[in-house]
Amino acid sequence: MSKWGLWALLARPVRTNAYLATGAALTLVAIAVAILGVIWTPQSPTGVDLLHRSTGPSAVHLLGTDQFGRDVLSRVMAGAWRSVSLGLSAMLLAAAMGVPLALAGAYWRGWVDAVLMRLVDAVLSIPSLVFALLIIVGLGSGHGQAIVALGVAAAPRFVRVVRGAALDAASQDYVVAARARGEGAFYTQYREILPNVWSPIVVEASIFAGFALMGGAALSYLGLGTQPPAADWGVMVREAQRYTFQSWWPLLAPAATISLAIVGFNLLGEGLRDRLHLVDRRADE
Amino acid sequence: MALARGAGPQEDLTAVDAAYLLRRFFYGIVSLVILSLITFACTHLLPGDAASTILGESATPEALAALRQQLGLNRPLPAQYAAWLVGVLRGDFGVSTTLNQPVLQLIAPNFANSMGLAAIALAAAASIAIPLGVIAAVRRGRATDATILTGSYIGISIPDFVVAPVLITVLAGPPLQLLPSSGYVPLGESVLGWLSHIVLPTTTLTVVLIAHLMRQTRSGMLDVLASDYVRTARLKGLPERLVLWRHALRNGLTTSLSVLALDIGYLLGSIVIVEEILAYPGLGRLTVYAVANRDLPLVQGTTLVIGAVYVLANLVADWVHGLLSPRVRHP
Amino acid sequence: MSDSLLSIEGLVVSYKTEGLRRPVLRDISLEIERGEVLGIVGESGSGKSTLLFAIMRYLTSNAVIESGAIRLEGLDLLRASREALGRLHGRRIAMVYQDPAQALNPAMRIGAQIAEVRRYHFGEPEVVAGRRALALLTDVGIEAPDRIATSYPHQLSGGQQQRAMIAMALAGEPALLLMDEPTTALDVVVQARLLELIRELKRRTGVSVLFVSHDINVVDAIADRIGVLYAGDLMELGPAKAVLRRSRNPYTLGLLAGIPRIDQRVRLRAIPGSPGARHDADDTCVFADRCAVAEPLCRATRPPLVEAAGRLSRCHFANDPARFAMLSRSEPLAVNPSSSTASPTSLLLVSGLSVDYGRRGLFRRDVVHAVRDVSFALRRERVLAIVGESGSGKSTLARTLLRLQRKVAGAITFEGQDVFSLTADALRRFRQRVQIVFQNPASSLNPRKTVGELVARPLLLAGVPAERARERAATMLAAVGIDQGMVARRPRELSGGEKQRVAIARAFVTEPALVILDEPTSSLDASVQASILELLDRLKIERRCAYLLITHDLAVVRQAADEVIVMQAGEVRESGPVEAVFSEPRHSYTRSLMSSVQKL
Repeated sequence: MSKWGLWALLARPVRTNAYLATGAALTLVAIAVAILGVIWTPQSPTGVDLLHRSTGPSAVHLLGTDQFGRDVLSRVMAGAWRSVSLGLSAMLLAAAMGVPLALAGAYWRGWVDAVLMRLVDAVLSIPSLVFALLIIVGLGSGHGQAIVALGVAAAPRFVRVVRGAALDAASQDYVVAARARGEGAFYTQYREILPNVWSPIVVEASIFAGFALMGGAALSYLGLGTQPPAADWGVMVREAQRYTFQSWWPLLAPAATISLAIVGFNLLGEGLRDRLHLVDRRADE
Repeated sequence: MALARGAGPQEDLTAVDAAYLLRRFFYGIVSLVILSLITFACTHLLPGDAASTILGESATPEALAALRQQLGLNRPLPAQYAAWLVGVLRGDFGVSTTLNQPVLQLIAPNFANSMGLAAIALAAAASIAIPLGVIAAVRRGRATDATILTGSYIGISIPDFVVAPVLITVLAGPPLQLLPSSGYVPLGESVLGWLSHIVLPTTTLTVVLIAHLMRQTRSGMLDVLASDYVRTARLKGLPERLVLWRHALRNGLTTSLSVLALDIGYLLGSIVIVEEILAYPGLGRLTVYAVANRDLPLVQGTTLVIGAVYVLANLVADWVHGLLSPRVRHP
Repeated sequence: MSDSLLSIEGLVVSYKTEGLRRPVLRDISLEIERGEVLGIVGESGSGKSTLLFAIMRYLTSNAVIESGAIRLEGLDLLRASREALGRLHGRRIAMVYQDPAQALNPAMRIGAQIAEVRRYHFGEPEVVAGRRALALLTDVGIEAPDRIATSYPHQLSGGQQQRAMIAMALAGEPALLLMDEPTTALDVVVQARLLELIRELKRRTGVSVLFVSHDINVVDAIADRIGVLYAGDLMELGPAKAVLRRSRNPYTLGLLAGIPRIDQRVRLRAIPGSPGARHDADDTCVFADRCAVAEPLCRATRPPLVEAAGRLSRCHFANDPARFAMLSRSEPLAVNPSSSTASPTSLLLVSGLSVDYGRRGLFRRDVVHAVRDVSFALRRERVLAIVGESGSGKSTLARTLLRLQRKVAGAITFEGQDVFSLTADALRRFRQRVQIVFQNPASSLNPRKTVGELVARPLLLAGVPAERARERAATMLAAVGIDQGMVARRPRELSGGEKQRVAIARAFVTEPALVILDEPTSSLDASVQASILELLDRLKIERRCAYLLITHDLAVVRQAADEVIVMQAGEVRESGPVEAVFSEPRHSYTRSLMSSVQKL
């Protein structure tokens, strides 16, 4: 990407855009915790300690223990990687599928676009969670399958958003000029149109990462994603549900972290949307 | 009153733009067909089919072969798909491999329960979210708007499977224990019982839906308020209240309508989780059960029905939007 | 003085962006009497729209009214309460907007939108207001008012929409009408009729009009007095004839000298630079750095508005007419001679071309016969103009020539070869030999690329090695007046005129034999148009190429073209040498076009 890209956008002094700041902060924290959780946690996330079941926060267990005596904080940290990486991977998959399709549809128009839109409409008519369930039926349960399921289920959303922006760009004279010069399809789509639709892609990617994270946790909650006893936020919520009368912490901790991570991605996306819109608008003066 | 038109190179004179309505209908059908294809394809991705599920692990190869023959699982996939599709059109969705009942019979009561939830949640959400969204747009940039907007961002981000357990813990757990934490009582049996069982699921659904709807209404209204014709209305000297009611809302609410249709997608997804958490006997819970147990005919049936609801809702929304839009009423 | 209808005194308006204050209107003072039409002429950045919206107190939130007063019949609008303004808007003062399709509520019938004014301001019951709306529609020249009153905006043509908007503005029986470029979006014939309507309304009702436009010809057609606005400053203000025929301001004169005329070819003189607003011009004349007769005094002191020969002019030398003599001389040019070196064989031959345009999807049948059986020939180094209004098919024709559109019938032959059956190699050569310059440089240059990349690309596509391509691009940019420092910039950092130069450089860099110019100056400011036309003329001679000039502007045709084709609804109505067609138009459509053009 040229100077006029994400770098320039981030390097400018951040104006009073609270959403962007908060979102970026939360997202960075989530990613940091996720990476940290892979290499170190205060205690073992799976170590059972039957003597200290369902205790509240203490010096040793900052967030308490769950019904098996496992340290909640460690489990939350260990589970972070799974959730965050799932969110990001599913998002990348969705983008990798959706963006080329959208560009192709906007460029070729005609029946290519019509068929594409009908496919997109059809897939979108299944709620993404249900679609994910379908794919899990086909592929079985597990972390990798969840990534594929959520990514494929979300690709149509990318297509819709990017196609809109790409159609706008494609109607501009510089695309007509490219055609008139005899530019090939690939060049026109990727070197003429794509550089002008980065903004919506980035915004959508960020927001979708949050929803993918949510979807992944939902699948785990339903028992169709990561399997226990592995630490996973969705699994933790499900298990903790039954024992809330003993301690609220095993439920609250993963619930809070899931929510905060998703809020982080969403705010990041919304903040970027505002900021990019501002930047784009200034560019037209 | 004559519905004549002005000058312009259009074709048909007094009819509604029937082409538009027909086109949306046709697209709906196409979507459904593709949907059925996708459903069928997904359920047949993995090896291991209905026969082995029914007979279990210890089945003999001969028994498996015989059952396969009987169920028609030996035929090529396209043939199986065609047969299934034809069956669906006739109302025969096959037989559940785990529950040994016709799929349609299983779906029907659950479908009704889920639609009840959906309708209530939609109505509740719309009546709260749309006014809030309009208020946020009108008071853009001020404290009210900021609060509403932040609220909606948070609402969108908190998953149903977090909201529900929290609500259960607070409302259904000790010490309050106001509501049952799961289950269902049919309306016929006891109104109060039915009510007490649907409060939690509908509340959960409504919370998330409100957040989505509020944001979308707000952004739609913002666009309308920034439009040239609202400027014209204001500069005609009309008081802001008139401008809002006569000019802005009329155009802004039609966008809300199309947005509502989109939200049915969110709603249907949420229903799956919420029913599972609250053990509510609906279509969503049935779907999860079917997936968890690899009951292929049931999976196909439930997914198809859910998808069909969405397609139908969108079609209705398209039609209503078209009929409300002057361009379609008077092409 | 005090009984003038509208009196603007010392109005100063700025915009706040990112902590900076950008002045938009500097100390504007003017008056409008009852029953008079004041026309304000301004290019982009002049502040003309801001002026209108300041009067209506409907500026954006980042606008600051620093000082001044705007009195309507004595009441200061800038300090009036919202309620008082609400009573005035639509009633004593009403506005007509530039884009009627957007300014009318798409979900409300026309009659209702007009009647609303009567019901709210006069308390008239619905039936009475409805009848009044019908009467108003008749007043503005709409036939079948009852049909229009029950229609929605999208069912009306552009001209009808604008008339409806005028009717809506008149509904309040206003003393003052503000008009923001009301005819810019309309075709020339429709525009002429609308201007006639405005003249008639003024005669009949005695309403005053403040009419803002970028088009001097249009303003001249209806204004009693004219004000010339530049970069937020009123440069000249006085009776229309005085300002236009005997101007005492270098900017006005510069503007006039750069406008092509429909009655003869003249040597156009461009104002160098571009009309961006200068931010720090509190102590200089805003026009000084583009002015041909500027002195050090002009850069040291802001000239006051002085009285000169019956009008006001903001120039230190307003009362020194000798200075302006050189600026006001207008040299007629000879007609382009038939170049003797031009080969008699056609460069481009189009015969019987028909093109359909439309979407034949499911349940949809909007097929338009955009081009019907068109034939013409273009010889080397000649300029052929294709003139028509919107919907005439001229743009579709241009796209078909470039193979961007499929033809239905006919043939296009370029340099002896059939354009639609070229081999891959021949096609590549064709694309180098035939280029196009689009109307709007802001959308024809990819905003994410640098100037250098944009101009070099056609060469890279033709197989020229990267280093050599860069060199040739740089040379070409210099030839169009873009200096080396701009090569790494992006289009948004350039002015409109500079962008168009880059687009022209891009077209010429492959050394084409034919360049299609699709409304090359229509999106540019008046003071910039002349320089682009001059550049195109120079390049044509230097590079010996032919032009196919597509335009709706007859004056540009007279200025730049040798032959002309007049198109309407996809068909050729008339064709021939420009002189002949313009002095003795034979087809009725050509005649109506010629008579609709507003001339100074």
